[in-house]
Amino acid sequence: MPRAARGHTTGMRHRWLAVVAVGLLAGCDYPRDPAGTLDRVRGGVMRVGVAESDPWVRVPEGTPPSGVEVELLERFAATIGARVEWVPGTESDLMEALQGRQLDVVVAGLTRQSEWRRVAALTRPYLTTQVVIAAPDERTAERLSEDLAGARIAVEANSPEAAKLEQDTDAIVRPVDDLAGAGGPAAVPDYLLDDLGLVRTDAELDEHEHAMAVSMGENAFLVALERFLLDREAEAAAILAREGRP
Amino acid sequence: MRFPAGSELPPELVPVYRRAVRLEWISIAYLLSAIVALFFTLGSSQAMKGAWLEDVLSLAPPIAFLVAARVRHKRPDASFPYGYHRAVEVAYLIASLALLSMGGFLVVESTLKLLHGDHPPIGMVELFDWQVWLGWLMIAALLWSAIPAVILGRIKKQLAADLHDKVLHADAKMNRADWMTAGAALAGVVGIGFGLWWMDAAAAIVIGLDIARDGLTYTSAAVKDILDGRPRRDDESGVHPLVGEVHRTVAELDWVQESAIRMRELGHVLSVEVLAVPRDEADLLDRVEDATARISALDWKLQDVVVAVVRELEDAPADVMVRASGPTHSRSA
Repeated sequence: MPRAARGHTTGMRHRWLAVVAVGLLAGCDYPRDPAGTLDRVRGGVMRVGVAESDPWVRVPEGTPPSGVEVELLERFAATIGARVEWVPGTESDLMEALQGRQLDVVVAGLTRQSEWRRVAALTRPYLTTQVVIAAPDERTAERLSEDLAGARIAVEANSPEAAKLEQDTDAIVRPVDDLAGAGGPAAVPDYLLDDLGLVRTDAELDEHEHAMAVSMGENAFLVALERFLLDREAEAAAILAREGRP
Repeated sequence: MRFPAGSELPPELVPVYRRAVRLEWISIAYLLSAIVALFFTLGSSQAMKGAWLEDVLSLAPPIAFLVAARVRHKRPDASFPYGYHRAVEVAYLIASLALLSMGGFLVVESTLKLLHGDHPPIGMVELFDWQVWLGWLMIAALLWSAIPAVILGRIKKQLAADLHDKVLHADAKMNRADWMTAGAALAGVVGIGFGLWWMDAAAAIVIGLDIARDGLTYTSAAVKDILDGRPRRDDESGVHPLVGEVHRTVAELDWVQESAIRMRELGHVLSVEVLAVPRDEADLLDRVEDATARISALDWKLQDVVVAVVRELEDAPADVMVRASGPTHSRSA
């Protein structure tokens, strides 16, 4: 009886070892894609949907697209030996195509908060930017850090920043067409502060976690792209500093 | 006769009961840790979500047990002349409903996801500058949600039998559901890793069905208790053996011509009412006291025993009747 019992436990142990071994063998190729995206793209063609969203994605007529996300994807493609096929379109058209696996990636200045997370897998944020209240000098910045009530804050007309400013603060919204010539305090993305010659206050209006969209469930491809992006936050910030213009 | 307040438990079971209370506190602390671990690794896995929800609902039985533990010992008073034993039954119903709703939810949602063909995405995460596939963290969290639950469930099952405590039994079952769900979610996550997107939802459906079945059994049992059903075993596997013993004891009383017996559960103790028609009116007081003592002596669970003498029994259902000629109750244990 004890002998039989021992035989049983060894049998169990063998089974566990087998499971672990299978896991280790698969380790080099795990997780995998249900539809094999990464295998297809590697040394092949990566289909990228691009929708205009300056400075992340610019899609000019007749010339190849540019922008922070476009540049990052070009570098990613190089690491896996893929050629990029750019597919311009509206965000919703591209997402529909991505959902139906006609595209491999969509870039459109998306953020993690995007509603598209229901239909596409969003990558970890490769860069986080903020919309802040900025002032022309330190003294004004200090005052605005204390209290925004009644302050006239310039903001790009008809922009989401204007909406946020109106909804979330007591400041007086001053819509302008061009922030560069606005003068005075303004609500701006943090990467434009230097270009505009403004200093930031403690008041943050919004935070954007920038991400790209990949087909749902293509986990090997998702993980490959994320691994690439997570290592390159500084690179992304440098490209943004160069590409981001008021 | 002592007014039937009854100590809840005989002295030898008090340490067992204390152990159960301590175990339920440990369960709550453990569940909270598992809930936090799963929450931070949830991702988009359906089975993970099920495992997490399951852990959240698993808090219901131990909390119900501990809340009931505070009130069940109270002596009867003007507002609750039968005492507070049945606080345990309320807790039992809550614990059972938690199981049932949990299972149902999991089945419905996972079926929808499966039909919809959702491919769950699992990407990378950063933990203090360390990059790791979220799937590995999920697996670690699920193991934490499974292994201690197996152990807790086993201990509780034994304690539930000792204490005739149905909440504890439902809780043990809930722990079983916990580790099974975690195991299925584990299969689901590993499956996703191998590119088998459907495995996640499929695993969640199988587990959901199992949980819902348990939930249904216990909910119906709890409702029967509240409707004063005949006492059943703590694992609901049949009529409680004490029903037969009480019937036999009453049948052996030679001064009783015929009698009707009503038994019901008051939480984890049992209440007995005997309406007895005596052959003659001699020594009635002594005889009634003796009968009460004999029944009470059968088991500590028989705490609220009332024997009443009546001239005749009209319209009593044959099932509850006991005739002096022998044990004639038709449906015995």
